Amino acid sequence: MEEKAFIQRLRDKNRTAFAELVREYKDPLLNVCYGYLKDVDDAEDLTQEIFTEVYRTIDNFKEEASLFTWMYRIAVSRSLDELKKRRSLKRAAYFEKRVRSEAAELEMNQKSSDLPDPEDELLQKQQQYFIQNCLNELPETQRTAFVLSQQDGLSYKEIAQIMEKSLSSIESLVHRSKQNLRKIMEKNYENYF
Amino acid sequence: MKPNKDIQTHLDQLMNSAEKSIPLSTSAGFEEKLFTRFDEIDKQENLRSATIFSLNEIQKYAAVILFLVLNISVILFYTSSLNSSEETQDIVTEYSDEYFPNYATLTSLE
Repeated sequence: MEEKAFIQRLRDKNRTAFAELVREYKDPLLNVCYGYLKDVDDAEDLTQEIFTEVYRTIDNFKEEASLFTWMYRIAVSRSLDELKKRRSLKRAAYFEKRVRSEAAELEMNQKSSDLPDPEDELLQKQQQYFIQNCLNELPETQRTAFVLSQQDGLSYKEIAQIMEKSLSSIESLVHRSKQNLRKIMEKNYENYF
Repeated sequence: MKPNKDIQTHLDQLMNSAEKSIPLSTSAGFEEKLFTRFDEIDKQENLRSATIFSLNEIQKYAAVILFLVLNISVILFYTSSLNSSEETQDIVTEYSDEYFPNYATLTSLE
């Protein structure tokens, strides 16, 4: 009943209600997007897009699922769309851009002495790329289950609601995703380190 | 080339960091930026749904009937003007020989 009243306030475009919603979900949604994109700025931009979509389409929300589940579904599908878009970009151009921005960042870091060792930072970034690229090789459902399960507070039951699957299938999906990720990491290791 | 044991240890570390990502928080201006976007959406929606003029029910029916009458009158006027131009054409063909005899007829008369 309380959620119904809250949804009605959102439908009325009540700014206080939206402020509550944003405060509650901005960080969890950011983490979901980051789980896919592995870039903080891109993840934050996408989180903005998700809230904008919620603001625009709240009238179409049928209340068949909870508001939380609906928003997470939007986050997952928008993140997957973003990944598809990235894949359609020329990989070389994309990586060149990333490498250039990193080189500039590294140069900046070298100038200030109180920041962590640039070499360590570069190694960490290299590891992040490695993890991201290996995650991208996972089948879509496994990747989604893995990304959602790594977020704090998201139980298998909640993931099952978001992905519209049974609890047991989520358990096996997460298990398989970990096994496959390890295999992919082993296969690609030599190319990165 | 690293020894296999080192690689396995490194892979364990990588798996751990993939599974346990550090929770992130949005930047300071996140909400402000978002609410500016909401304002823009509201503006667009208001423009789209703005009423140019308002009419009551009877005025709406009257407007529709007037529109239909005007359309029907235009169609009727157009069809009647087509008929009259066809009639004119018939008269011209009927009397053209008489008023404008061809050259052979004229020379045979001489």
